[in-house]
This record gives sequence, C-alpha cells and structure tokens, in this order.
Amino acid sequence: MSEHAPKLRALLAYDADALSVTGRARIEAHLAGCEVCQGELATLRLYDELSAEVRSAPVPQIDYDRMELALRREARAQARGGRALPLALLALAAAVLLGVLGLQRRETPAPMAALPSAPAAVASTTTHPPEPMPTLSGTTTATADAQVGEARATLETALHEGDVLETGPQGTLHGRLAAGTGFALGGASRLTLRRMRADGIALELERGQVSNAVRTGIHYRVEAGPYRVVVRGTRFSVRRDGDHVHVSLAEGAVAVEALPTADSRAGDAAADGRTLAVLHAPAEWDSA
Amino acid sequence: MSGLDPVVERARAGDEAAFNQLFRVHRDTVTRIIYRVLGPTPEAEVEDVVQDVFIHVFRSLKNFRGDARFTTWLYRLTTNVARMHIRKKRSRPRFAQVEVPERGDEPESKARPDTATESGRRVEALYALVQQLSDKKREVLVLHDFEGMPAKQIAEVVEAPVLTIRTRLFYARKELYAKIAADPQLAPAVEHLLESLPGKAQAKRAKAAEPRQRRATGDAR
Repeated sequence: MSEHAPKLRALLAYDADALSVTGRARIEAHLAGCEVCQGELATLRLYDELSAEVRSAPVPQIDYDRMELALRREARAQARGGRALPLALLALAAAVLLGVLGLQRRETPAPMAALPSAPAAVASTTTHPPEPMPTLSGTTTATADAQVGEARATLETALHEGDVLETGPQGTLHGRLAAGTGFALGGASRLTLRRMRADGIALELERGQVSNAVRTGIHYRVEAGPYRVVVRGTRFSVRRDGDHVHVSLAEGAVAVEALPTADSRAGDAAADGRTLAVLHAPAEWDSA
Repeated sequence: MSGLDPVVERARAGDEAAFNQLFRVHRDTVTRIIYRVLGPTPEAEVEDVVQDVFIHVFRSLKNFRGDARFTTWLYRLTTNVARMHIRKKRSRPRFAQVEVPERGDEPESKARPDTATESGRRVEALYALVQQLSDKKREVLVLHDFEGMPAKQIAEVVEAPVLTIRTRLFYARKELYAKIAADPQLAPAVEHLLESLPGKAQAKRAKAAEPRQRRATGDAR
C-alpha cells in the first residue's frame, strides 16, 4: 500500500465530474492502484451522503406561541428603551399595580386563602402563612375544550395563583407561566395553580396528565396525590390515575418526594418530603 | 437610516408589532440554522436557543446600522448564539446515569421506543465529529454543506473574505474526512462504499485471481 497523501483536490474534482477526459482517466488509473486514494474517495462520498441526510432531516416543530410571550415582554422592554426587567421585578411591579388600582380578579378567593387545609401536624408548603412574595401571572397559549375556573379558556386567558384548570376528554390547555416555563395539560385533566410566586411555582394535578418545560433556576414542582415532583431544570410529564402516578422524564433531573395524605397516620408524617427517587433523564418512575 | 427595511426601521424605533413581524418572518430560518449547527438536539433545547437569538435581536437591533442586509446581521447573530450555546454545553457537567428503582409489576410502563433510525445514528455520529472542529471551520462547513449557504453569503455572515471561506471549507472537510475514516461507527460505511468504486471490483477480482494463478504456476513447476 502506498503511503502518499491522498490527492484530495483532484479527488474532489473527480467526484464532482469537473475533470477533463484525460484528467479523469489519469485519476482512474491512479485510483486502481492506490488504496489510500480509494479510501479517501469512499470517505468523501460517504460525507456527501451524510450531508444530504442532514439537509433532508426535518427541523423540529417549535411551539412558537410559547415563545411569543417572552419575546413580546422583551419587545415591550426594548420599546421602553431598556432591557427586560428581571422576572421578580416584573412580578413585583404587577403586584404593586394591582394593589394601587384595587383590582380584584373575578370572585376567586385570595390565593392563599384558597389553599386546602392540610393536617396540622404536617409541615406542608401549603400551610405556611401568606408570604409577602409577589405573585406571578401566566397566560394560555393554546386551548381546546378547556376551562379556567368557571370560564371557558381561550387564547391568552390570564392564569393566576389559585386557578383551577380543567380539560374535556379531547381537550388541551397550554399555559406559559414565566420565561421559558410552561405546561401542557392533557385531556380529561384537572390541575390547580397552587402557587404562582416569584420564588416558586407549584401545580397540583388532581387527575390526567401535565407536561412541563421549566427554565433552569425556577423552583417548580408538581404535586400529584401523595407525591411531589420537584424540578431541578428539566422537561417531564406526570400522569395520575387515582392513586397511580407515573413520571416520565425527558430531560434534566427531578426528585420524587413523599407527601402526606389525608389518611396518613401519625407515623407517616415523618415521610413528608422524603425523597423516593432522583431521576436523571431519560427515566421513568411509577408509583406502582 | 433610509435604506433600511421599513419593518426593521419600525422595530428599531420600538414598534412592538414590527418586532413581532420580524420574529414571524425569520423564526423558521433561524430555527433551521440553529438546528443545523447544533445537530440532533431535543426540541426544547433548540427552542431555548431560538428564543435567545430573538432576545438578542431585540436587544441589539438599535445597534444595527444597516451596513449589511438585516438577514446577514441576523444570521451572524444566530451563529454567534449557537456558538455560545455549544461552548456552554461543552463546559456543562453531564448528568450521571442513575438507575431508576426497579418495579416488579408495571402493566402500563412503556419501554422507551428506540426511534433512532440507521440514518439518524449516522448523522449523530457525523455531528459528534463536526463538533470537534474549531468554531471557524465548523461554522463555515455547516452553513455551506448542511444549510446550503453560498460562500459569498457566508463571507458576509462571518465577516471574512470569500477566499478565506473557501480555504476554511477545504480544511474543515479534510479534517472531517480523516475523522470519518477513523470513526468506528462510520468506518464500515466507508468500507461498503469502497466496493462500489470504479476499478475496485476489477482490482478485487484480479487480486482474488492472483493466488489461483500463482498456485497454477506452482503446480506447473
């Protein structure tokens, strides 16, 4: 086998059929006896095949609606001539504005008052006294056969802490809660926006399925019956059917923790917050 | 600034509707370029990078003077954001594989379907090699060979002479060919292609016949 460097430029021209008849014949004569150049020609042909495969590969279908809200906020910030305010400041500004104007949204009770009472012996996040933490508001980005509270959900329906979201059997509801953070509620599902604060978001899934996309840095959790899925920057789904809970993790990491139930015995309370599993994608967890 | 596209001009002046229009007109191209640069990547990650691009667009638009076409400026920004993302990803620690607790009885559990086709695996292997190229070589190669951008436009995007682009492209491909030939996943495909080369079949037949002839000659002796 010859040890010369492959004639790459000549091979590229040969492969592109850009040589004269004489040049072509010369290269073919060389190729017949040179394994180095044969290997090089085969490699560049494989690369041509692979780049054609890359060019024909379908581009992922992006949910641009979800992206638009964050961009609109950015555009508004730019229109004001500054950079987008940090999320917490925006939320704080919104809270102050609501307070000043005395706006009372619908007849929903105050978010913290709407929380169900948990067994007194258990230190659940839902039993903390109201904190002066600014609330966040989200918006729906896609809906079909879905309700927010008593009202039918439409595009851009506002979402607030305490809202109960419900979908019909064929329904769906996509919500955006913060930049890069949102969820998609599947059919026949019921979900409560338990906490929508600058320091964390908590969703409670009563039934059905919720898929979540969470931007790193946001404290986000989904409670499903006696389990709580705590996000550590990830993309995951939680499915609940009665007491059966299934977690499917596509990206990142989540921890599945135990939560007390109404019929927990005193001894079980110690299990509250106990980490049952730490999942790293791709992974699935099932309560069964 | 009279030479500017009116939509770009309105967006520069802070018109929110014009911002939205720019996003809607260019989002598919930006997504495609990001995907071509990053290679096989989860949708959510592509989405994050695309969003980053447009956030940068909105923040930097006031600095756009119209010296180049808006699309050239946009693609430059897109490749810059993609480059930053690749660098950040390289420096990020990878998640360790953690075993999921065993479940004895799981009637509803579904095995993760292995959806990767043979072609998908080859493309993944190719991208693993492409990501080893230097930023400059990788960007030129991806924009030219995967995105189909002409060398002249790439020269405008990366702000380098056309001749430099052609040189970078040549050396990027050369480096990549060597990596492909040495890659255990792709080398078999190279071997397979070797068989179809002109003269290869005849040479192989001649090689196979050689020992027979030698044997025949030996027998004759």
